[in-house]
Amino acid sequence: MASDQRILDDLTSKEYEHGWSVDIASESAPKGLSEDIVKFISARKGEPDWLLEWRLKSYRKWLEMTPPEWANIHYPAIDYQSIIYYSAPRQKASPKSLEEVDPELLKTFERLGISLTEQKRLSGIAVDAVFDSVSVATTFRETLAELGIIFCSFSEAVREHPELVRKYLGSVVPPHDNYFAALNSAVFSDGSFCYIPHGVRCPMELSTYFRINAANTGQFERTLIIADEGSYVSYLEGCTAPMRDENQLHAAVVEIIALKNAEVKYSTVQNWYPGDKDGKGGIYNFVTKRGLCAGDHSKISWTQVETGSAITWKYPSCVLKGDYSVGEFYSVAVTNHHQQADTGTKMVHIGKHTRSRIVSKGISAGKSQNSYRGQVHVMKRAVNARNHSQCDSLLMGDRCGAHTFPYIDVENSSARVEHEATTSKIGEDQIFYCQQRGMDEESAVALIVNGYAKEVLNQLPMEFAVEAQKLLALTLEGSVG
Amino acid sequence: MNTQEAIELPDSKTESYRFTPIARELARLFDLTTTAESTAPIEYQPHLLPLTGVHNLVFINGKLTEGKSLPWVKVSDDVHTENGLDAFAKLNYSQQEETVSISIPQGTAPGVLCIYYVLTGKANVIAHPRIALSAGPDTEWLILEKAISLANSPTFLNRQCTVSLAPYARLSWVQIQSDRADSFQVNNTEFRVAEKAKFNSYTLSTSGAMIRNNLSVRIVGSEAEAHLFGLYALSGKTHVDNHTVADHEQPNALSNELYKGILADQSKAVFNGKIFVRQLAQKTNAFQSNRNIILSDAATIHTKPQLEIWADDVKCSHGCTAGQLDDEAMFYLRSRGISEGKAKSLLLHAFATEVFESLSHQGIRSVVDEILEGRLNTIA
Repeated sequence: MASDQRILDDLTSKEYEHGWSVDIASESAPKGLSEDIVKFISARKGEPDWLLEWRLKSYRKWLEMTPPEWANIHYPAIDYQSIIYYSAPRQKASPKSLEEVDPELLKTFERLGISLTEQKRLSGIAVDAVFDSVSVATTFRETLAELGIIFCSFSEAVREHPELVRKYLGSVVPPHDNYFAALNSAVFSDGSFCYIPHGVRCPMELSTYFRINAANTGQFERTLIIADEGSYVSYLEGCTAPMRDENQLHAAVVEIIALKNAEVKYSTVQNWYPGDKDGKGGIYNFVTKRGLCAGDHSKISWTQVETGSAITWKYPSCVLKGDYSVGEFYSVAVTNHHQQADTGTKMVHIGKHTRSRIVSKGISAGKSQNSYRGQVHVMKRAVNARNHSQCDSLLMGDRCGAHTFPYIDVENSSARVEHEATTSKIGEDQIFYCQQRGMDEESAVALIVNGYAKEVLNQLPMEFAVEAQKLLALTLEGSVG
Repeated sequence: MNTQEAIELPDSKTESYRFTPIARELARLFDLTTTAESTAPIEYQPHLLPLTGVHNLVFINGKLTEGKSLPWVKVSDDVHTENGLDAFAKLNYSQQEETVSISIPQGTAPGVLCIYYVLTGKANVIAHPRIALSAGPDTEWLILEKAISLANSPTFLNRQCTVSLAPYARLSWVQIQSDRADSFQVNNTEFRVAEKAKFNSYTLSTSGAMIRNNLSVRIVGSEAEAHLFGLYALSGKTHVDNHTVADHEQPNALSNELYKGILADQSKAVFNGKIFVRQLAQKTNAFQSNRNIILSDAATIHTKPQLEIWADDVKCSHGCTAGQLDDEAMFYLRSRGISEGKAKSLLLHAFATEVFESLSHQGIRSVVDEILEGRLNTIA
């Protein structure tokens, strides 16, 4: 017991390694939210009238809505008037090449291990870096353009491909979908846009990296991915923020549309600042992510490794509309200290012969609360729909909690839906076995946790899997329950 | 007695009644501010279950009529209002002055008690019976409950029950819900299980208009055991909603839950199983399983097995499925010359009987089997 306690103590003293911030001249909107701020953001980005109108409509919707209370998370009411809704690093209007980007900014991303310079060519990942409210650089644009792939910041997409943006924006997550989606629709500042044309298999991983730097700001980015018929893309998302005493709000929206025979794989390693060991500070992460399998035989796969944020409220979902479409959700959520996570997925089976698979692994340590909340809904039309869900929880210590809220609604007699869940701790015998073979307790736990999460980690692209594994080991090193 | 005006029954906006619009149905069919008047003596005997060597308690429209003379049965009218009651419990308290207390003292020989709720009358037939039962240390009893509607109009039974098991008590609780197609039921049952006591619950639902069972088991002693079994085999438009709670407050206890369902026609079933494991309740084993066979596209199942765990040294699992009869098993039987209907009923029977395997009382087991068999034959 004594050693357990020591190890738990070690764990609670672990520090967040991306907690620094940089001094970059930035310009921001005044604090608070009003129609003027919405107009200010829209004007600053030089947006067309229809988009401003859309924002204002969303804003008015948002005013009528109330924050959701059903989730198993507790936090003081957010003062939406004390947030800065727009903050942009001061730089030239729109950098044509990386040379024009503020070197301080590049250094920031280099420190994060996200090199925007072409030295990453070897690893072949195209990165769109979002710093506070704006996208600062997108790499490999030309290579991708040769294939007809559009990969750029959201603002650029609005300027250059308004017809695509207008057609698909809000088609999967309408502004009135929920409180945070409405807020995002009103004030979203930037994000990534991606279009993969007919029959193209994107040759490299596309990646967005989000960084909150300025104090008191919220980050509201919007990502839109459209995979045209028969295309394939693998998309990565990463995020960090400096350590600050106050809570910062991150309310993003991700929309994915997969047309006939298209496949989109979306991977996230979420490592926002989780707050200190007393639960002070940290990011409130309220994210709406949804994919629409619009065409037959399309596939959307979500993989997430959630280690950061003081509060995570996130349910990447799939609407399986096309016949034979497939939705997948793989998740590892780790909470420590005072973190709270309420995360899961929603699989809506509309088309015939649709299939979905859910694998969720929760790990709670410290005084954290970790909830899985998921819904599998098989509609009347969804003949032969098939779902398998598995959610496991691992508890480390007796001060944390693990909760499972699966909703299963079946309206079709040919559907097969299965759900299973277990809760357990790391067995003393398992640790003993490892120690007998010369491993210390900490690496034994890391090994067991990695084995526990393997099914999910295996779904990540290689470059990300390494980072995710490191993160897991770091967050949980040595915690034996 | 007009307190009921303040009682607002939960509508579909309430999470736990999201799929069960019972308040709406009741408001349509009944006047909940009054209860049925007791009528002339009624011939209910033929409707009781054919069991011998058992004690009977019979409630007519919520009032105890038969069984008052049993030594451990007491009718009291001390209405104690508790806090945190659900709306239907409040309604029960506001409409019913009588609480029937049954206390089985230590040293009582094992026995069986059958409780019947007879509903009779011409219109607005509502009954709010209330029972408080305590099983003394080391006793071993089986309680069976059944509602019998003999009215000319829809009936509504809103029954309230609190049961406590003393240390080392062994209690089985059987609910048979096979009433008429225009009968509504809300059954609020709360069990408290003390240390080393063993509790079994069996709920069989086969017919009715809408049935809501709120069954909660609080494990307040260590090394206690609770087994919750349920089967719903539904057809027509029957709607059955089982909300169960297994709340582990003390360590080293076991709870095991198995609910199975067969849904035909336009029937609808809701299952919500909650397992709570409190911080004190280390070394808890808690299992839960909900399996459903859906026979018709118009049938619907909403299931939500929910785990909430605050202790780390526990083994908990839950599982739920919704599916059909196995094609291969069907083919196997058909290829051996068994008709489709017969094969179906055989497989359904195999699926269903598991639920009652541990029900050891021969007489009651055969009653349950008979109801079940009749039901499955008509569904298949």
